[in-house]
Amino acid sequence: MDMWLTAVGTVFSMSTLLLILAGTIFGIIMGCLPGMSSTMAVSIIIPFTFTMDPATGIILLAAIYCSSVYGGSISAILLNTPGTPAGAATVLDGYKMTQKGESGKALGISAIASAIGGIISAIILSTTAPFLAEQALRFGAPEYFAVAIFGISVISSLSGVNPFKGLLAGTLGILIATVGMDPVNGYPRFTFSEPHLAGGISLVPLLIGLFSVSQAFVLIKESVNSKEETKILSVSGKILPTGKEFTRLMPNIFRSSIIGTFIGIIPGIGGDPAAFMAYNEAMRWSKHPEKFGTGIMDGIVAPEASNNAVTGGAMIPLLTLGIPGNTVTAILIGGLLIHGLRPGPMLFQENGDVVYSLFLSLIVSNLLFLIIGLACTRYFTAILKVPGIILGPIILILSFVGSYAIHNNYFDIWIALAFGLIGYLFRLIKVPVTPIVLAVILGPLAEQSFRQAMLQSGDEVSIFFTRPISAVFLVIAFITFVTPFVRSYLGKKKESSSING
Amino acid sequence: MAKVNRLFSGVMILLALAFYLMSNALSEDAAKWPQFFAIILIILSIGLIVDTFIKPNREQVEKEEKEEKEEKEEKEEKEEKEEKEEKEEKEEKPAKDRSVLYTIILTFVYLILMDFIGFLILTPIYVFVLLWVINYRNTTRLVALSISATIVITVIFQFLLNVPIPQGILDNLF
Repeated sequence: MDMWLTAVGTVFSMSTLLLILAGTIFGIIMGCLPGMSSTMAVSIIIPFTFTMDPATGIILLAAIYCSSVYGGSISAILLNTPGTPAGAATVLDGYKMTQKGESGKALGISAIASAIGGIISAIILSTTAPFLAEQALRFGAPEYFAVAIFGISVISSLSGVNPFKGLLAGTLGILIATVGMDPVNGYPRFTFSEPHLAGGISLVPLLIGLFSVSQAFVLIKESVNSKEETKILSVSGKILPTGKEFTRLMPNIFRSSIIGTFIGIIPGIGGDPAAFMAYNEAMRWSKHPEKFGTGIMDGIVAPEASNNAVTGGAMIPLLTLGIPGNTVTAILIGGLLIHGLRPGPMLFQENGDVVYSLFLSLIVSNLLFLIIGLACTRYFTAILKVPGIILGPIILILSFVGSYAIHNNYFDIWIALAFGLIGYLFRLIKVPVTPIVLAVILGPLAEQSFRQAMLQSGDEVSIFFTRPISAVFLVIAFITFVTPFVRSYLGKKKESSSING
Repeated sequence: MAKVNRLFSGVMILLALAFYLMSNALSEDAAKWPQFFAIILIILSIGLIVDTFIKPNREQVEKEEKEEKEEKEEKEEKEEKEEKEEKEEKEEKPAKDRSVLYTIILTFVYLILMDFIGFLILTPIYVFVLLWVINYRNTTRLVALSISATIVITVIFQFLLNVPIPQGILDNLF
């Protein structure tokens, strides 16, 4: 209870509220611009949070995360292009409503559903996470190793069409993370006697490079290639749904929020499948499934409630175990680490004020984007008219200044550029970059806990299997790792049998 | 894609070998972990080469399947195909779209000079030249944008957040 009181003091101070407001506006803008994603929005802002106190910094990042996911629906509805990948399912009914002249209502209900989804998931987060963290306090080195392996095993489901490429990227990430001091003895590895590498490759410039710099190159390439002007329909019609419509949509919103939260908790799935899953469920439960895809509100609230609910869900493994379940939460770890906060059960013990302020701020930022979303609906078309070509250069300079600012160090600018080039090249040759980040974050944790466990057990590997919790996590890790392969194998089998039969 | 995959695997194998050999100089404790993953990286790279050899169309085939499923992805698909075509074109005659290459070269120059000249003077020039090179030719807006972006970033970092920006020759300005 004390923690909640401290949190109220932190969140409801004028400066924090203004910052959440600024973050929310920024997030909505970044979310609704096609080509900008939540990952980029959050990674580019991390350097700004460096001089803030830890609670304020992470609150700002979380506000950007939530609002950018919501922002993705705006361009989905108005442009027929999702602003963020998580908005893809919203396109189906959202754009149809715009074509019918009901874009106002589509935007309104999307803001309402997104906010409710976000708030429900924030409530689930703040009630379950402290309990889970308390359980995780008993973890020793073998358990941490198993948890880290579980976090890394998610890579197999992030690999896209060619699993080899995802696994290669992940292994590369583990090797990148070995640069710097060895986590047990402090022995320097692969540093080439370069003092800037002694502490390892800095995480934030690496994140900025992989997600912002490379994205800027992509934007420049695309904006040069696309000469056609996108036609933007203006916002028309009423914005708020009637009370009756709202009551009718409520069960759908609630169900989708729960789906989103649970999908968020499972590492490696993320917002886009959660949105489609909620859409399918809404269709299955609906009395008129044939109307989906023709421009009905049910088809907007399901994916929107669900993809915003992922935000709270994804923070459960992040905060309690230190496992990032998707790219954005991996970047949030970067935001915590620059303040010296390592997510995990100890965070609740040592920095409870930060954690509880984050919980409360999630609710506040969801409410804020609801208000902004409803009040400013008519101005969204103006944001969408920003020419894409000017965004690339601005993102580039922001990325470089940001990378420099964190350690006041030119070397980090070059790291950002190097990883920007790697990210861009990998995108061209279709190698996913998220596995690199997961491995860079979890690799050192895995190595450290593995070696500590080995010291503890006198080099007996069995220690990981005789301790129940670590055994369970390793089994889950194994299942997580092989599931995508099994599924694609079964899918192909089914397909070939349906062709033959 | 097959050629690209082989090249990518080759680079990864070289990198893994470099990590492995450099690890030999470390103490046994510190070397085990990187050496283990260097070996895995080599195995995976060989796996990718073999896989590309057996199923050269893996990435195309699965993409076409998806294409049927979703209208939306069709659009991305086209872009990807265009990209690929462009890349193939690039391999034949390295002309066409050089915007990203120019951006990278300009960025290199910008970052090298930033250490000496500083953010404040260099950035408006960089933004102006970069936008000009990638074909944004509205001069008034170019000037306004390059200067205002620099000022806004300087004010936010230097004054609101107290985060230093590289100052170069204007060392004692703030």
